[in-house]
Amino acid sequence: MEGDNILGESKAGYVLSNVAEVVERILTFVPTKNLFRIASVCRLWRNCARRVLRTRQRFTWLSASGSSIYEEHVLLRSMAQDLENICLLPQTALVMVNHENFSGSVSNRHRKARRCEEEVESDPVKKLKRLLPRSCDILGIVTPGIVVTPSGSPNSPPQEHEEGEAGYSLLFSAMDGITIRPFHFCKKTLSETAMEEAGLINNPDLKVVLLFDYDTYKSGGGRFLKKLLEPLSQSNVLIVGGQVEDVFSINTSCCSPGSFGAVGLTFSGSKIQGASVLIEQGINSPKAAEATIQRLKAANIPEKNTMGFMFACVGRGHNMYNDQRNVEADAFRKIFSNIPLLGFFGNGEIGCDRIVKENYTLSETDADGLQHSFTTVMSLVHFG
Amino acid sequence: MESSKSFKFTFQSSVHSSHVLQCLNEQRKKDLLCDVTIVVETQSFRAHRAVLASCSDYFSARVSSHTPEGTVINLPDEVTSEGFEPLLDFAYTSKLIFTKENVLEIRNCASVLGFKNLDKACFDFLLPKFFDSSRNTSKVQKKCCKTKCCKSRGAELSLVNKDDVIDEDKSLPQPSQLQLKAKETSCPPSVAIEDVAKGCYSGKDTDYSLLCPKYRKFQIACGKERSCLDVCDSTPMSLDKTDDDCPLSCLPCSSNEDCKETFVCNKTPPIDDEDSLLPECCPLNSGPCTGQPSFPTCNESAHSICDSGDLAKRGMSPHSGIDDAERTYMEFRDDQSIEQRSTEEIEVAKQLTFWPDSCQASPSGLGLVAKASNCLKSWYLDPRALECPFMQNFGAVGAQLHDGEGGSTSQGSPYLPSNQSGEDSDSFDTEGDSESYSSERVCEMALPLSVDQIVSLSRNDFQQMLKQQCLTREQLDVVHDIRRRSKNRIAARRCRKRKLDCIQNLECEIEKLRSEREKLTAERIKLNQMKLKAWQSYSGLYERVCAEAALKPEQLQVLAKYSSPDCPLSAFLCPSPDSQSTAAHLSRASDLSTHTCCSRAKPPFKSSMENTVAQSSSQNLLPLGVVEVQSRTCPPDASAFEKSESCSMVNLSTDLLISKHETDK
Repeated sequence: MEGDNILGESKAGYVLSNVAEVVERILTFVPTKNLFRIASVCRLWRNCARRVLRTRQRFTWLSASGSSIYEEHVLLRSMAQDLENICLLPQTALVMVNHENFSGSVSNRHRKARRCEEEVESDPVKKLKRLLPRSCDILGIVTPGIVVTPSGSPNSPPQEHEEGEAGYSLLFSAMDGITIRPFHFCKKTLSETAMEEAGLINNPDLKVVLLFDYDTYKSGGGRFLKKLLEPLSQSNVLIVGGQVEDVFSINTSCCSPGSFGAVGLTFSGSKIQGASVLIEQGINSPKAAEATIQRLKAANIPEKNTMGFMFACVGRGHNMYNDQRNVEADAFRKIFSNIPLLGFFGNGEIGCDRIVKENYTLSETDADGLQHSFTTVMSLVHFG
Repeated sequence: MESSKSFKFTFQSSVHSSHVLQCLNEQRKKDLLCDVTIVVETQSFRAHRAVLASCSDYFSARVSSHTPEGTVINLPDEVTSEGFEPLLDFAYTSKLIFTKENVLEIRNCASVLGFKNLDKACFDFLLPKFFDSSRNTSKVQKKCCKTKCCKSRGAELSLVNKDDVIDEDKSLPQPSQLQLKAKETSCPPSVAIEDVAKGCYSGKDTDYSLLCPKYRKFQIACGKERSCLDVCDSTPMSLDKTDDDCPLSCLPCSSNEDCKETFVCNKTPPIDDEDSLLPECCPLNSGPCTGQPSFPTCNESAHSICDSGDLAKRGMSPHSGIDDAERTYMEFRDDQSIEQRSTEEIEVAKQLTFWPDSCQASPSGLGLVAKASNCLKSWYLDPRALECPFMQNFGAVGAQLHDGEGGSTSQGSPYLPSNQSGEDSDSFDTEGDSESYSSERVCEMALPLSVDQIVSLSRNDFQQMLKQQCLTREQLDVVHDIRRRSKNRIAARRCRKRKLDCIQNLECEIEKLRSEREKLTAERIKLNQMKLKAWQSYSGLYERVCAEAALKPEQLQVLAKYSSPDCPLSAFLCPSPDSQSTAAHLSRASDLSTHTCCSRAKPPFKSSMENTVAQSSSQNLLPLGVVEVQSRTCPPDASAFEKSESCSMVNLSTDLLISKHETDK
């Protein structure tokens, strides 16, 4: 008996330490974090893990909601667990949380950071950085409300969280043919060269820009934003975003606390397609909202590998629809049942009706039609 | 090493195409090199034919290389200058600016003119935006469209034309299959057409509406057309329907012209109705066949249609008998086919623009026959004239189809390479990985050898080198491992290459076999013809011999006894041979055949074969045309057998005949 057992084990051992195909197949089912641990077992496994990792070029999202009795934000708690199970190596992360529980720590973020450097665990930003790989670019955003689709299942209905605790992190791995670059501009750093560096101008491959500005209601903010948006409104680029409460970005150290600025991501690559529509201020019935979102369908964006974004005004939501909640998210779900939807309720929206496809673009030729209020920007971005 | 490589550089400009377009636009604005004038409503626009034809299906159909320079093209009423101007700008600048006012016009014009690269999704996206608050307006607009449709049929035609192009892709596989079949049975193409025509005819003989129920609807719609013009509104609808599922109407354009034919014929005596229905099918069926690239020019295709029409006629004649109307029709057809192309083209222009007028003019005949012939003439002219631009269009479609086929085959052929390339890249990937891995290992183990050395040396050298170098056991293991892996890799690469070569060889072989088959089928056809000729001469000879010899009945019987049942003589001698007597004949014949040169490898099989042959030969004495059709429609195997049998049979009968002559003398 024992002899048999040993023989069997040794057989399995032989296969697992010699047959790369088998190991590789097995490793495709292993989440990325474990893959890294596995990679340090032996050379064969390391090579297999490397190859498996190379095939994982996608994006995924982790979301969390629910009021927590804990100190830290619900997203941070769930992310620690969820990150164990994701199957890609995040290269860029867009993290959005609402400020219910996050704001307290963020608003005195600078103070706190200065006061006690050693108190790492209590600082959510630091913790986030610790959770994600070191090479990962993090773009953190704090908004009044959040729209999420529960993680892991694109078919489950998206939920609008106008209050309560919610958050999500959208993780992009390195993808062939797609360049994702984060940017951050403040009053001092906004210049032509900086914009070119971020890929915002003189970039023929640029397809989609997610742009979030903060504190631009302060003096000079309008001019700042106009300077930033003008080249984008002329070009045929899908641009969506909005005004948010605060950001915790890669390095916000360049300017003094409380000053305005803008962060965002640029997506360039010929494979990317996108479309966006603006649900205007006057639209206040579910039917009309659905009719508007239906127009997105006309753009014929493929459903696979596509992410929906919804950036709405805090003034919309249930206030707009006669105290009906979740209207726009439901309308989106009705039309695009297989596309996950993420977004926020912010203080203002950026975007317009545009289609950016491989062989044509369709855009409103209106120079300053990008900034809105009391509207919702619905968009689809397809990553090849 | 690198110097021996021949260098190849490709320069590709990313701005060239847009620059060319920009220059063309400037030329247009300066009215340089513009060779066409487009008249829309009251406005006229100058443009380049080439640009227009490459942008729109409508223009590519209207503007051919034969049209002289400086042509004026009148666009159908449906196209408004409001909608056309932005589209013209779009053709030259690839930019299109929509406003609430022009978006519907643009959509309308774009669909009429079949503008390419203008995604319909744009309108779906924009229209709700523009007309969200007031949906009534869009409804009104739609109505507007319809009434406009009624006004101009030329536009309708082009619209259908355009639809046709799209539908063609779907519906064409059938005709092409048909052709393939025709090829496979290796009948000459004319036979295929004949068959088709016959099939078509038989369908019509019972009730053409049975053939395709939609046709009935269409016919009814056409019947209504007699009095009012707005029926056109309904015809395109029914036409569209026929497009959907009726394989016959895969050429909606020609069916559209049929609409007109019936329109005309409805005003003529009902005798002609049947005849007038004929062309309805003839161009329809022959269309797919003529769609082959072998008829590149418009003129030729028109002729071919003519021919096929004739053939169709012939195919029908045994069924229905020739009546006068048909004859006149044929004559007229002949007359018309001599006409010059230029007149045709003028006709085309006329037909396209003043269609209703010519229709109304046609029934103004004098007598009944004259009226009929007049009508026939007019309807005969029309299809061809109309066919002209259409055929071009269709030719384009045919080309498209061929492109498609080529695409599929080329898809097929690159499919393997692409697959392999994918595989290759994959394997290269892993190879690269392992190569880098092995070099990594070399570095790690601090080996005094490079990977190249390890791999490239022969076995003996390798052993020697290992002896020379004093390596640790671990290092030795690594070296062996690397060598083994690399060798494996090389072997794998070689194997892949071998497989590729094998595939290529097989493809070549397929190609060779195919050509051989074609050659053989051609030969068979020739032999068939020869056989027929031989039969003719033999039957003539036999008759003469019988007449000359003036044999008595007993002699005849004796002769019949000893002559093979295959020869025509036996049929002369015993007009109603029952099965037993034929069996007796057969046995004798087989006896005879043992005397002659015929092989006797499988006597029972052979006799049965001869039986069938005898039967067919008795039928052969009937009109020869039937035989021809029969032999051609026979499945290839059977006819091949028949051929070989008939050869031996001919030999046999010649022997017999000669011997008989001798005995007689």
